[in-house]
Amino acid sequence: MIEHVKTIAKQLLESGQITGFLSLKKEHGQIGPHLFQSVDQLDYLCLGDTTGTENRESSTEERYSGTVESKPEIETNRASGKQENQSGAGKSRYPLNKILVRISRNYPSDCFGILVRGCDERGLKRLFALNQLDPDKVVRVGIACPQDLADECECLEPWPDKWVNDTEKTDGSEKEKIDGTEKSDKAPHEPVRQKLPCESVARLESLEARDRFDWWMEHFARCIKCYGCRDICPMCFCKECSLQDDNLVRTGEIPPEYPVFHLARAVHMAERCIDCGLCSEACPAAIPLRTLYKKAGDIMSNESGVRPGYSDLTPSDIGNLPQTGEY
Amino acid sequence: MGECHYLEGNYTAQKRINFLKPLINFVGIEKERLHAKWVSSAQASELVNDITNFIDDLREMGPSPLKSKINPDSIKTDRYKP
Repeated sequence: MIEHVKTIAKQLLESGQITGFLSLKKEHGQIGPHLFQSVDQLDYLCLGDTTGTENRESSTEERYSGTVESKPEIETNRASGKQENQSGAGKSRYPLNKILVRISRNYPSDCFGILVRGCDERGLKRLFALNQLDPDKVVRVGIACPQDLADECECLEPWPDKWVNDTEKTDGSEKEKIDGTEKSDKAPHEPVRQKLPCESVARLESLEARDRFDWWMEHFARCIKCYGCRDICPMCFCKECSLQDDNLVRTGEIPPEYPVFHLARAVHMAERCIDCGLCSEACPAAIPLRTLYKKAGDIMSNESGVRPGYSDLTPSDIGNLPQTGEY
Repeated sequence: MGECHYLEGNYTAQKRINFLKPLINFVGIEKERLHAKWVSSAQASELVNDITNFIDDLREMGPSPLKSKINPDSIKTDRYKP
């Protein structure tokens, strides 16, 4: 898969269609986001962490082991998926969209290519709709997530509309979007659509209200207010953050005024959160933020029939929730 | 509805209320603690009635779970492994 991505990136760069290709770079054993601007740099391109996943995964699993029961089926998937995915998409994900927003604010006339996963593409769609990026200035190169990662994320759509196909040998081949009905023979994943609500949400909903309150408070109380969830979020682009507004959330307190801090963020993210889960991954206190935002997404889709990122609707279709970066 | 001084302001408010109710319910705060009603300035008695009823409902529910302060020492740290 990685060779195809490199070929596509090379073509795009050589044709001058894009000024740079935003992707991941592996250098000295470290992986990080990188804007590839010349063809010879592309040797370092990588699709994520495929070798070191074992340690990383076990640590994430441990972090959640007390709160979310570990799922044995993931273990088996992981074991089998590891050999297959050596050249495929790795597990580590980076907020490339966030970097792209920053780059294109500084170079508004240039066109950039970007490596997208399913969640990244949902993010791009929302950013287009919220006028943060110009769709004409972004070229997407899609990759699908490995099955085990998709299971772990409880992702509803772990692939973008078009993704680089692993099986076809013709270079630059991209597949059309596959409907849920045709999933069995074409989609890269077997369980295409997870059940709703997701397991993590459903488990909490089965609790009594009071237990649920205690459960959440216990998590929120651990918050060290590092703003990591906000800083990594590809959809957080406000110039002034409400979380730092003394009138909305009292500042200078640890743990932050709970649950206001987290709920304020959840409400703000209501029409934006595309369920990439980077906030949960970044959180040093292992607060299961993703579960909260998954629920927010469920509510949005119940109330307005739209789940952010899963369609190209404009903010006004979704409701008069805050629309721009300045409010 | 739609006769708001801020034009479509009450539609916006209703959307937010509809969103917030299930959300606070999800974090364990009874959704009945959030109540919205649309009354015009000419419907004073209706407003008074509604608020009185709401207060009665709240009394029945008892103090909010948010009132209970969490003791910092009681936060379980053993579940968290970095």
